[in-house]
Amino acid sequence: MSDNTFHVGIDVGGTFTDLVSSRSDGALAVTKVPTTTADPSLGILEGLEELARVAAGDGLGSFLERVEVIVHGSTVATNAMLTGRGAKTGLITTKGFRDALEMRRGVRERLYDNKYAPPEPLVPRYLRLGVTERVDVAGAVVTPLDESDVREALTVFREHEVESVAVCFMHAYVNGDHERQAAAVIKREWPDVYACISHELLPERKFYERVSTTSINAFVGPILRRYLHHLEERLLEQGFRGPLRVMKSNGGIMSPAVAVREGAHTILSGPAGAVAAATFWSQVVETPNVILVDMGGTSFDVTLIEESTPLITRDSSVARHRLMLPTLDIHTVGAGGGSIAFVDGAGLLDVGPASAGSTPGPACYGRGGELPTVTDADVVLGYIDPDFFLGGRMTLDPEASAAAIDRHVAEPLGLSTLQAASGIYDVINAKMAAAIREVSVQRGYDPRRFVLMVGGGASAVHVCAIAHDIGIRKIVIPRDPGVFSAFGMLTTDFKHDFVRTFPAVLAEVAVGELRDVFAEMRAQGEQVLEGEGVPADARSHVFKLDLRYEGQVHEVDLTVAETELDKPGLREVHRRFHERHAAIYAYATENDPVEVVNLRLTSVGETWKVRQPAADGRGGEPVPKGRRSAYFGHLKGSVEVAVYDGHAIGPGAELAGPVIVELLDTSIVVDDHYDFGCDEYGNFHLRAKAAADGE
Amino acid sequence: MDTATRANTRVDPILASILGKKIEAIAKEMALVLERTARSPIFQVRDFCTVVLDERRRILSQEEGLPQMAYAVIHALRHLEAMFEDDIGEGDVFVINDPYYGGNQTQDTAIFRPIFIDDRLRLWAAAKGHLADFGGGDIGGYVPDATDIWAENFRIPPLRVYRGGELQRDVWNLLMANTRLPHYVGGDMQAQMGATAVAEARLRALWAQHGNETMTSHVDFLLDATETRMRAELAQFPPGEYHGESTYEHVTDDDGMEAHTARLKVTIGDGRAILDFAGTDPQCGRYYNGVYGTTFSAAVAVFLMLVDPDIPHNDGVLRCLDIRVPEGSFLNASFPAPCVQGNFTCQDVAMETIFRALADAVPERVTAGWNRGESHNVRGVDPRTGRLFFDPPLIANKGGGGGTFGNDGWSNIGCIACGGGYAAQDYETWEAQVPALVLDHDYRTDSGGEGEFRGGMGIRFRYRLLADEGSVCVYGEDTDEPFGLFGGFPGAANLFSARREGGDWERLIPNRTYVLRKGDEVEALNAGGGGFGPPVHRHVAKVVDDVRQGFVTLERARERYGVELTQRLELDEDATRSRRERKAVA
Repeated sequence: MSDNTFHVGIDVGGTFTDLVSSRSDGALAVTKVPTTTADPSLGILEGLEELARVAAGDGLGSFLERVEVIVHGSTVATNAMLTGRGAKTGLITTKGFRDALEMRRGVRERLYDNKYAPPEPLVPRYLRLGVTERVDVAGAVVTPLDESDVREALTVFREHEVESVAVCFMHAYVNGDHERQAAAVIKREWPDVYACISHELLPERKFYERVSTTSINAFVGPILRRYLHHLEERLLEQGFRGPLRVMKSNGGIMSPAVAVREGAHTILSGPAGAVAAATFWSQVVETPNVILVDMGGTSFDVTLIEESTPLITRDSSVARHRLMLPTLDIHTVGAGGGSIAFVDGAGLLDVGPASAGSTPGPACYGRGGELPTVTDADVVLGYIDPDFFLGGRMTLDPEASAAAIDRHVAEPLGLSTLQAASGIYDVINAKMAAAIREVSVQRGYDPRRFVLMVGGGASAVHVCAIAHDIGIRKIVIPRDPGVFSAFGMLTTDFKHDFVRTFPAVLAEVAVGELRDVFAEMRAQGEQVLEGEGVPADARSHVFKLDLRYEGQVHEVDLTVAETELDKPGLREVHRRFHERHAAIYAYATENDPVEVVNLRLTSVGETWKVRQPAADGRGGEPVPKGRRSAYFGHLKGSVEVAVYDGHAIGPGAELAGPVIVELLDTSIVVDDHYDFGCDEYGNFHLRAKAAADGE
Repeated sequence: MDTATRANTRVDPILASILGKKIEAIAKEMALVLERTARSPIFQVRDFCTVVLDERRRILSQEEGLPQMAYAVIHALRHLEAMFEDDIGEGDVFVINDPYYGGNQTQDTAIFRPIFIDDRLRLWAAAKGHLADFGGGDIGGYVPDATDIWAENFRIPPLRVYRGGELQRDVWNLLMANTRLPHYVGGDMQAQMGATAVAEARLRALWAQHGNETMTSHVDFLLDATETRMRAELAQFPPGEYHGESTYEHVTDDDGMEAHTARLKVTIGDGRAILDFAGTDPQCGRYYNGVYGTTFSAAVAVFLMLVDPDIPHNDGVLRCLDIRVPEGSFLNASFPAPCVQGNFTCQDVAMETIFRALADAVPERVTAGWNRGESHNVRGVDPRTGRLFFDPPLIANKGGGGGTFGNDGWSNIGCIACGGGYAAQDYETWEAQVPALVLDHDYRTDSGGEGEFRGGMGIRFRYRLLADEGSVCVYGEDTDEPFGLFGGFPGAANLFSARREGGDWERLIPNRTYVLRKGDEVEALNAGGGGFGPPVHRHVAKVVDDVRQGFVTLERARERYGVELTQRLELDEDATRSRRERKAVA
C-alpha cells in the first residue's frame, strides 16, 4: 500500500474545486471543496488535504510525496478576460494600424440594437503605439524597422506602468524579422516585462485576429505567471516533487513554462477536462462518435467528438474578443438550470438566456429569486427530489417553484401549473437540441450516428427528451458526473498546435517546399516536447491542410498522412476536399481550383494515463428507494415512477423506463422511450426502446 | 377549460414557440451556408439575406446580413408568381435581379426555390445577395453617367434556372455570358442555390414531423403573435402626425450641385404606423434614384431599430407598417430610370427622415445621423498574376453611427443601412487579393459629432496602388455632415482624395472615375456620427478619457464640451466648472 503512487487531477471551477486521484493500482478517489476565488491555491491545498485523507488515509505532506504528477485546469485566464482584470498591456504595432484591435472587423453583433455597446478594447488607445516598419504580403521589407520607435514606445509604457507588451506587425506570419528585432529591443531594454510576439504565438494570416489573439495572450500571461509560480511554490512547500501540468484549450496538457508563455491556450482549461474524459470513455466503451453535453446553471455546452477526436475550431472568442488559436469546439448557448422562463410581448413562452444564476437562483432555492427557472420546472414535474438536491445538502421549496410558475407562465397562458412547467421543460430542451444540431448537422455530421454523453450539471434531467427529439438512441452518463472534468485531466497527452500560412494552388503546389515547411514545424514540435521531458518514442505528429476553393474566405481542414505529401497523395487529398465540402455545404464544384491556405501540425507527447476504473457499486438486483409521481408532457399526464439510488446500482443492472435514478450531483430522468443499464465500469447507459418511433 | 380552448383552435402555444425557433434556425443555417461557401468578397461579408416564406408569400423567418435588404423579397416573389402562375414545379429554381420586378439594387440578385410538400406548393426558400457584376456599362454596376437601367446591369426578370431538378444549361450560359466575373458570380449563385436546397431539406423534415395542418395553424398563430407584439410596441409611441425631411446633394456633370429632398409624414395610431413620402422630389436622370423595394426595406429596417431588437422578423411586423412612396419620386423611380446608387441614397435619406420625424415622439429610441455611404471600387491588372482584379474595399465604407440616448455611436460600423452587419476585409488577405499596400486604417480625431452621447468616430483608410495602371470609381456623397440631435453637433463629413506620386492630396469628387498609376495613393475618410444631446452635459470623465485616447482634441474639449485639460491631460476642475457654467447660461 505505501508503495502506491498517485496521479491527481484538479479542476478549479467557478463554485467548486474538484479533485480526483488515481492510485497506481487503479483505485480512484474523488473530492470536492469550495473554490477560493481570490486565491484559488488555498482551495486546492484544502482539497488536496481532503483527498490525502480519502485516497490514502494520509496527511498532506506524505501524500504529496507520493503524487507523481498533478494536472490542473485553471480558470484564472478566463476570469481575467471575463472581468476585464488582466495585466495592464501595451501594444506595439505597425504604424497606421493601431486601431485595428478596437475597430475589430467593423461588425456589431446585434444588427438592429442601437443600445448595444461595443466591448472595451483589451489595450486602450493611448497604449497602442505604431512604429515605423512594413513588410509586404510576399514577406519583402518595404520599410525597415526603426528601433528608436520601439524604445520610445517602451518609455511610454514604463511611464504608464504597463506590465505586459504585445507585439504584432503586418505580415509577420511570413517574415518575422521585424518582430524578432523588436523583441530583442524589449529584452535588452526591459528584460523582465512580459512580452508576447505575434508570429511566435500564431504565424497565421489575418491581422485583426492575430493582433487580438496576441493581445489576449499578453493580457492574461502575467496573471497566469503569477498564479502558477505561486501555486508551484505552495505545492513545493507542502512536499510535492513531481511536475505540475496545465490543461489546454485544445484538450491537451502543457508544462507551466509553456502555459506562462502562451496563456491564451488556457481559456478553456476547465471545460477541456470534460471533453478529455468523454474522449477517454468513447474509447473505453467503444463508441467513438460522441456528442458531449454539459448543462450548468446558466449555459449549455456541446462538443462533438468524431472517431474519438474532438472537433477543434479557430473561430472562438472570449468576452467578445477574437481568439484564433485552435481550441476545442465547445458550443455554448444560454440554457441552464437557472434560465428564466417568461411570456414575451407576443404571448409566447420563452426560456433564457437570462439566468437567475446561483444568487438569487431559482425560486425553489429560497434565496429571494421570484422568477421561474428551469430548475423550478424540474422540481414541479417531479424530476428532482426537493429533499435530495445535491445529495440532500440543500433543501428546495417546491411551493415557491409552483407559485413562480403559476404567476409568470401558467396564468398568462391559461395553463395548469404542470402544463406550464412541462412547457418550460420542452422549450429549453428545444433550445438545447438546436445547439446539438448546430454543432452536428451544420458541420456535416448526422447526430443520430452519435452517442450522447452527459458531462455534468443538470443534463441528466433533460437528456432523454433531447436525445429523443434528435433521434439519438444511446446515452452514456458517467458514474461520477460531478468530477468528470477533473477525471478527464488524467487521460490526456501533451498537445501542441503549429500553423504556417502557405498560400498555393493545391494542384500546383511545390511538394518539396511543402515537405520542408512541415519538417520545420515538426522540428519545432519535437523541441517543445523535448523541453517538457517527453521521450522521443512517445512523440507523434498529425499533419493538416487548410483548403478552400479559390476565392473563398473560410477553409476546410483535412488531415493528411505524412506519406501523402507527394503528387499522387495530394490528388487523393483533392478528392477528399470535394467530398468534405459537399458533406458540409451540400455542394462541391469539382472543376474549380483548390487553394492551400495554411499548414497545420499537432505534436503529441504521450503520457501516463489513468486506468479504466472498475465499478464500485454493489451487484445484484437494484431495489428502489421509493416511488414518486412525475409528469411527462408527451404522455399528457403524471406517472408513478420508481426512484433508485444510483450509487447502489452495480454492473449488469437493467431497469425499464420510465424510472428515476438519483446521484449525489444529479438525477437521471429516464422517460418511457429509453431503458436504463449499468456497464462493467459502473457507467450508466440509456438505450432507446427497440420499437422507438420506427426511425 | 384550457384543453377545450386548445381543441378549438388546435394551437399549442408551447409547440408554436418551439416551431418558431426551428424555422428561425433554418433561415440562420442558410445564411451560414452562404457565408461559408461564397466566392466573392462581398458575399463573404454577408451582403445578403435568407428568407423562409409560405405559399401566401408571408415571411416566416428572415436572417439579414444587412438591414438594407430587409423584407424586400416579397415584392420580387409577387412578380415571379404573377409571371409563372401555375407553371411552378418541384425542383424548379428561379432567379431575379431587376429592380423593376420587385428588386432593390440591380446587383442584389435573389434565388427562389419553391418547396412542394405532398404535391402542393407550400413554402419558398429565398437567398438574395449582392453579386459582383452582371454586365452593364462598367464592372461592378456603378455607372455614374448611366441614363437608363440597361447601362447599369443585365436585367433579369423572373427567370427559371432549374426545371424539375435539371439545370437549364442554355439559361445558365446566358447568365454567365453576361457577367465579367463568371467565376465569382457563378460561385455565389451556386452558394445561394445550395443554401435554398439545405432549407428545403430542413423544412420538409419539419413539416413531415408535425403534419401540414399543425404547421399551418401554428405558423398562423406565430405570425399573429408577432403582429400583437409589434402593435404593443407601436402603442408606446404617442399617436399623432410627425414630419421629417432629408436632402441628398451631389455634384453634377458641369460641377454644379443638385439636391433631392425626401419628405415624410408618419402617422402613428392604433398600433400602426403609416409612412407617406408624398411631396418627395421627383426622380432624376442619373443613378441616385431608388425603387420601391429600396425605400420599403429602409423603412422596415428603421422600425426594427425602434422596437425591441429581439422581435421575430416575420410577416407580423409588416402588418403594422403601411409604406407609401409616390411613383416617379426619386424614392420610387419609374422604369427605366437608372437606380444603382439609390440603394445608398434612398436608404440613407429615407432612414434619416424617419428618425428626424420621430425624434420628438420617441426621443429615447432614435439616433442622430450616421455616416452616409461613400465608397469606391478599384480595378486594373494585377502585375503578380497578369489577371484582372476588381474590388470594392469595404474597409473604406465604414464610418460612425449616431449617438443615441444612453449610448455613444459605434465607430467603424456604418452606414446605417448596413448597421454593422458586414465585416471589413482583413488587410493582410486584401493585399493578397489586390495589388495595393495599406498605409493606415485608424480613427479620425474630432470626427465624432460632439454630444452628451458622442457620435461614433469616422475612419481613415489609405493605400498605395501597386498595379501599373488602375482606376477607381467613387460613389456616394461627401457634403453631408451627419446630423446631431437635441443640441448635439454633426459629425465630420466623408472625404475621398488621391495623391499622385509626389503630388498633393486632391479631392475625388464622388460619382466619377479616376485613372491611377503605380505609386498613387487613395485616402478614404468616412464620416463620423452625429452627437446626441448638448455636449456640455457629457460626463466630464468621459470627455477626459476621449482626450487621453486621442478621440477628441484639447481645443474641442474646451470649446464644445466645456472641459479644460492641462497639456499633461489632467483635468482642470475649476476652469471646467466655470466654463460649463458660462455655457449653461449661454
